[in-house]
Amino acid sequence: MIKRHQQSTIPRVPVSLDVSLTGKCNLHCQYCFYADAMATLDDLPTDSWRAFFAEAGAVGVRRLTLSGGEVFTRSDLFTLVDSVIENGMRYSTLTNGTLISEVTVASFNAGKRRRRLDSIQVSIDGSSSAIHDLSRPPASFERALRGLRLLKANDLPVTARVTINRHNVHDLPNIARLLLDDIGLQSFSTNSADLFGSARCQGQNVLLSPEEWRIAVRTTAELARNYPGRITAAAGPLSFAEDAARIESALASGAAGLPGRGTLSACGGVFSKMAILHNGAIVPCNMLPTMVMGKIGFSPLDDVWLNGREINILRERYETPITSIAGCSDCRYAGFCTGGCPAVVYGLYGRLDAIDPGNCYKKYREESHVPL
Amino acid sequence: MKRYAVNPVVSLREEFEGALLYNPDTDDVVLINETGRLIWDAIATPQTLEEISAYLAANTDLNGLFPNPYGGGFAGSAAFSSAGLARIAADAAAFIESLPPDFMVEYD
Repeated sequence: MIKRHQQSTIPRVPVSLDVSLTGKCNLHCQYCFYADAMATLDDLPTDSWRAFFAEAGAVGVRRLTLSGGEVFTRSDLFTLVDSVIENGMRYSTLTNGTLISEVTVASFNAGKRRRRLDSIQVSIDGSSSAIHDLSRPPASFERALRGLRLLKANDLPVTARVTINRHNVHDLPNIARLLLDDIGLQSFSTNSADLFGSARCQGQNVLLSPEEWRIAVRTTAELARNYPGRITAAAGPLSFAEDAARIESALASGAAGLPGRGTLSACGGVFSKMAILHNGAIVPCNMLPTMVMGKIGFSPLDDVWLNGREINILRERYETPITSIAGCSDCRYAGFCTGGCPAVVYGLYGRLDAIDPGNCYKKYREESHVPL
Repeated sequence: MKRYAVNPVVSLREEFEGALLYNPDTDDVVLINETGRLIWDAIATPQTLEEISAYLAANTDLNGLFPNPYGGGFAGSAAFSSAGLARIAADAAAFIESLPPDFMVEYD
């Protein structure tokens, strides 16, 4: 149950929800986090989603991120989008881009759909088919790029996500040129392939080695300097580089820590959003699909948000000092640390009282004994 | 005389303290206190500033401008001083002035 002192930091209902409308995908990529056992679950029918969107709108959820699987495999997608709008919310979509056509563009332009659309994020993992398609099926690149260009040409709010992996880590400058200079996107975001979903089987092909991670950190930091404000990251190498710069700047000024850090505060997502899987399971984050707290249509959304056991356990991590974690008790950087992504931690160790070694600044400085 | 009403696309969400107005067309959010909440309730249908003030007077404890917890008018409402009513009208006008234009519909 939510603690009384948390009431000032947690809204009464989530601000936003990540909603996976389908587990189906027309591609089978090497590092998809939403693969593996997830694809065996059944999609909910249209009416179940519509009823849920009515509930979400009524309690005051403001925005939904619609994804999958591949969201454009749902033939009723725009019926569902209209339901989101009718219930007073905004939306964005995540897509591999390969199913976007002139019909899609026309559909986004109907009624209020465009007005309430925050972004359409297309996954681009290389500057050429030779690289992009190494982690995706053949011809994915040309189709994704066509979709991206089509959305841009029609002035829709398109952006791109580059998932940095072993195949594209040396192609990042070319990808930036393609997306920002050639296609003219305002910005794109980055993260990195992690040990979720299909990467659990294909990891040896796609996951960054420690040395490749360092290259990715250096390269993305340099690109971000060259394209100010146009390359972003909430996780992955660029996010780590930005964190490291903040830490080094704070250390230089004699600080022992940074505000809001020094505990397992992670990304803070559980204080503003949660996720719904395509079978209707309510989870704290779609990277934690086994932490089911309820099911839409059966469990009131606002009750799960405030009283869901798993999401409150994740919130309580915010009060766990980094120095209480095994191996971190004497870390001189503990006051700067957030512990990284709890989903990565849970995937690696099957528990939550640990730090994400990929986000360990001490390890990056080659002082840590945290295993990869 | 000008009348004010809520823009029907704007939703109100109760929070632990006060409430939050959200316009999904513009993505704007406004936090309001309990008095703001009362005004928002008052303009569910088009109302003049005088009508809004009267609604507030009927639902407010003028001593602290806190909403009457029992709802509706309360026993002393007929005895409000003109100074108190003027303060309510000024508060209502200030609240309406502070809202982004897309949050309300105005009728002349």
